[in-house]
Amino acid sequence: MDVKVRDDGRLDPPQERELIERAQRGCEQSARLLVEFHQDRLHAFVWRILRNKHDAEEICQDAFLRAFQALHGFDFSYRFSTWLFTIGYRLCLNSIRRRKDYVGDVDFSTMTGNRPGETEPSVSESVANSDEAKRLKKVIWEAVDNLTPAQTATVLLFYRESLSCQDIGEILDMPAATVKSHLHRARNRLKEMLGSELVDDWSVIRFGEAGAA
Amino acid sequence: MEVGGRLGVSVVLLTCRQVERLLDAFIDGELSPSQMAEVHAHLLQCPSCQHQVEMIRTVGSVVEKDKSEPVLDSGFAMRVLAAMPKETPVPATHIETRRARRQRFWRIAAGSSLPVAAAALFFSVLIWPTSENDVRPTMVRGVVVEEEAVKEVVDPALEVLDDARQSAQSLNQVWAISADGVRRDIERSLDVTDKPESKTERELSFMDIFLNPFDELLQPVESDTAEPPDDSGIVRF
Repeated sequence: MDVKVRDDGRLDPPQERELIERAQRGCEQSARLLVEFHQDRLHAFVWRILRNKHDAEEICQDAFLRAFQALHGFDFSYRFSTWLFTIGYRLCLNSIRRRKDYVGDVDFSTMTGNRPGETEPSVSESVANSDEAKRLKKVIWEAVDNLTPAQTATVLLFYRESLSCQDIGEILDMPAATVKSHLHRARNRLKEMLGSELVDDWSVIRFGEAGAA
Repeated sequence: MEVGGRLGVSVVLLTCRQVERLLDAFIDGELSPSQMAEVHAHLLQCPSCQHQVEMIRTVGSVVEKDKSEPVLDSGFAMRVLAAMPKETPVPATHIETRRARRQRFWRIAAGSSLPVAAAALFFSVLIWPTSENDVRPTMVRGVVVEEEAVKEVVDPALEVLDDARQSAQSLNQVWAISADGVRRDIERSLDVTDKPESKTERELSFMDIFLNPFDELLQPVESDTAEPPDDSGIVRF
């Protein structure tokens, strides 16, 4: 099957539907494509919440298996990714409940900037990858790590996945108003945590913006 | 405070506290055009609020584009496929969304009639009066059971009940034999021809009437050493 990918690296909804329908009929190739197109996004989401590579991979595998087990009951009014994030988030919460010593250990050695294979950064992104910018990005991720799991998930889904509060509410199993509240509190906490940083211009590390210094 | 009066455009300058309340909606572009203009006007003359807006926008930009998480290796998809069961099972582990769960509530309400009916049938068997001569629970046989699932629940239960009933009958037989021997001993020692209604007799009368058919089948056992068993151990029907 010839798969066309959008500019943002995601599948068109009709193509995603076709893959799901083929996978429902037992097509392994389509199932593999579904995994490959969603695995990195799901893994990034799960890893940001758990901060443990082994657990994140295990949960991703479990999430895909559960999704495929229940694929015959898939509701096409949802995106496949929304469904995966729903499963992944619930598995994350279960994992956190089991981990009494959950401290959100951060392994910054694994943070090496952009992923291999991605396009070369633009001039503004090069500036955004300066030493100071790298330090600030690290500080920002540390602050995000200190949010609650629900707040972290909300921030990730809102910014990384560009989902609406309504869609995030479906994933996190809460009303859209509660999602809004989580986002508001997350921003306030981030402002508190990052407020002590002596940064003249936060926009210096912003990606792909004309105004980025 | 209002500015721009000479131009015929009135923009209210908000306080920092007012802007703070509107900041989320401002960042997300959810304010009306006039409110957007008011917040903009405040930010132009308030470096502190401007700094906060920039900070949150930068956090959003980093979260969106700084994909610095570790990635899964290229063999992950194949491992998922290898771990999948060969036969696609019924979606028993389906994880529901909020919308789906609301729909499921009504499905469960409708579907619960079968187990409820099975439970009612099971308990009716337990409390249904049966003849002491009829070892098998024939009253239940009269019930038309069409559902295979109900049969699977009820049939094993009836077998267990049947076994328990037979055991109890055997116990009562032992008790009747022993009690009969004791009664004969009492009669012999008191040397009475007309049976007095003693306490022992009153206790035995109910059992005798109930187990009369079995008494006829059994040979009386003469035993001098037989003692009445503990009454608390008797299972009566």
